Amino acid sequence: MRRRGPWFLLLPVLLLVVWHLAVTRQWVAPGIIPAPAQVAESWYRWIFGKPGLSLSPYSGTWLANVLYSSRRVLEGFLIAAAAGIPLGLFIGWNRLVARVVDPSIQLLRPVPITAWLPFSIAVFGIYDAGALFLIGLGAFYPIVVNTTHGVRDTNLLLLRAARMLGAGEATILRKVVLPSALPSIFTGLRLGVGVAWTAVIVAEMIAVKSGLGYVLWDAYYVGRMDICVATMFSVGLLGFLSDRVIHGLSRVLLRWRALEAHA
Amino acid sequence: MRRRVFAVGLAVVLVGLAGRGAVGQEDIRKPLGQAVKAKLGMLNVPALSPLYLLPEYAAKYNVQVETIMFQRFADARTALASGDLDITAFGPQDITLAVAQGATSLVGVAGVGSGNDCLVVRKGEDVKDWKQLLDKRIGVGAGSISWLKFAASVTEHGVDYGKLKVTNIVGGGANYLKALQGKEIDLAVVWQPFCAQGILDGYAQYPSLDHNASRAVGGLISVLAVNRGFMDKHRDAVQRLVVAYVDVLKVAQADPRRWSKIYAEKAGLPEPVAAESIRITTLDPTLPLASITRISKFLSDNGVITRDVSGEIARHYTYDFLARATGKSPAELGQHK
Repeated sequence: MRRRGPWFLLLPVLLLVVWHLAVTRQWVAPGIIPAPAQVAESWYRWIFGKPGLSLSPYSGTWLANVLYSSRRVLEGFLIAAAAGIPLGLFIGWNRLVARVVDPSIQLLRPVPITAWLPFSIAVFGIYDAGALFLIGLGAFYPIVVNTTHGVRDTNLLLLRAARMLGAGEATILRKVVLPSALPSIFTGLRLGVGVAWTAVIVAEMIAVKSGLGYVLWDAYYVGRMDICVATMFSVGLLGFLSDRVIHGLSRVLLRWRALEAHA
Repeated sequence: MRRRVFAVGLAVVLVGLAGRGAVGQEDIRKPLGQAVKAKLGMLNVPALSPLYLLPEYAAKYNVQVETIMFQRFADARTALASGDLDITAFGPQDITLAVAQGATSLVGVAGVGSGNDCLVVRKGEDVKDWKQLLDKRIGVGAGSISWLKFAASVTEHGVDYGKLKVTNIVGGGANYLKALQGKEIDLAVVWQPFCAQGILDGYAQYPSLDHNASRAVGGLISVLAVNRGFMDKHRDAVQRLVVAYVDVLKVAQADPRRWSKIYAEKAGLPEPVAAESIRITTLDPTLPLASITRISKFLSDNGVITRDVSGEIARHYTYDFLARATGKSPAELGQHK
């Protein structure tokens, strides 16, 4: 049997080598992009260093900032899921709701999160409420659109069978449509959590005094590109882990699909 | 006889030197034989508003200036370091920040002046003592020169900056004013024209505290810098740009009303706001290098940068162009200030 090698490492390692060469051989102007080793060193200090001087938040504060951002992402994401899944179910299930609500969602969906910034500040002010609004809004669209799609894709034979067996609308929605739409809902949740991590950077650049987005912009203003890059990796890593969690959850909840496939 | 020959010789040398000086002054004001294009980074702050005239004045010397607007000094710094800009003005700390990261492509060529940065509180809620700040919520723009002045002033007045309730606000001064009006912050550490806007709108005032006079950072607003590659390739053009720059500063200094009008027009501000904005700003092309060195030391002492570059920062500034443009020595132009 042929052994599977760690092929997934090939591209990142290659990119690291190109990045290292670009900096050390000065393919880019010196001091603009930090070398990978510099980023690793600063990241290590950011995670494990002793809390620094008052004007320097880049020593020993990584975990605290990760927790701040994670909390905001989780809260915003949960708000988006709580609003997006039921709304998506109703849009997909009921034509009247679809006619009334769907056009507005499709109209607002292309507006980027950054365009909502001034509105968010004006309505929610600075601090957490504005951040939650932006994160929630960003995650909401993929969740609602995918849920709607999942409901509309429900197998008609299943619906007819349920009706013939005397099931009411609520029962059909709960016992037939929802399970059938779950794969699409999970796709929406996975996309939504990715957008939530994107939105947290935008949200935290407004005014909050914590979180990875805050650190990224703060570091940029004082020319610490090494910390900017470390923040980008941190966000990528956390986004990846969040996706794995939702993916794992979907595998547990959608086990019936695997069993169905084997049947 | 020998004495007479020596005297005549000396006179000839002196006349020659004087003549050379005159020719030198003429040279730097002579239009370039071939036009040189330069990209100027620009921000909408009153201290830099005379630079709106730079394209017009530089054109007299056959230097074609294209102005590119930026929202933040940090963006202008990055663009100059990468060579996307040829000349820009940014904070006096920006070359230090870049050098600490290993960038060597920025060269400071002139100063801009002092003032411009301001503190603002809600009307009737004056702050008279630095210790009072411990109870206030403060909005700052991390990395800005106003923030540095504030941090230095706070520290020098015996207040631990780390104990302040500081919020980093980005995205422009309007966000500070909104937060101040919404009582989300009690004091904004900003710059003009935002203080003037709040004051003339009637809901804000300057507090009794002034953060423009710290020993470590001083009141310096900005420096004019060029990209080293551009400077090495077009020394004559840089010389003329500095000459034109000194000229436009003189125009603004001589006629504050005109300066205010230019600023109001270009920034799209009401004239009273523009007038109030420039009132606390003093234009001055001298380059206080000792002050910049102290800023560099302050930045490394407080952990903002990881490397102390105060010993080498002088290498990233030159008085060559400013000295020729003004006919003054580096010492007169602030080398030891």
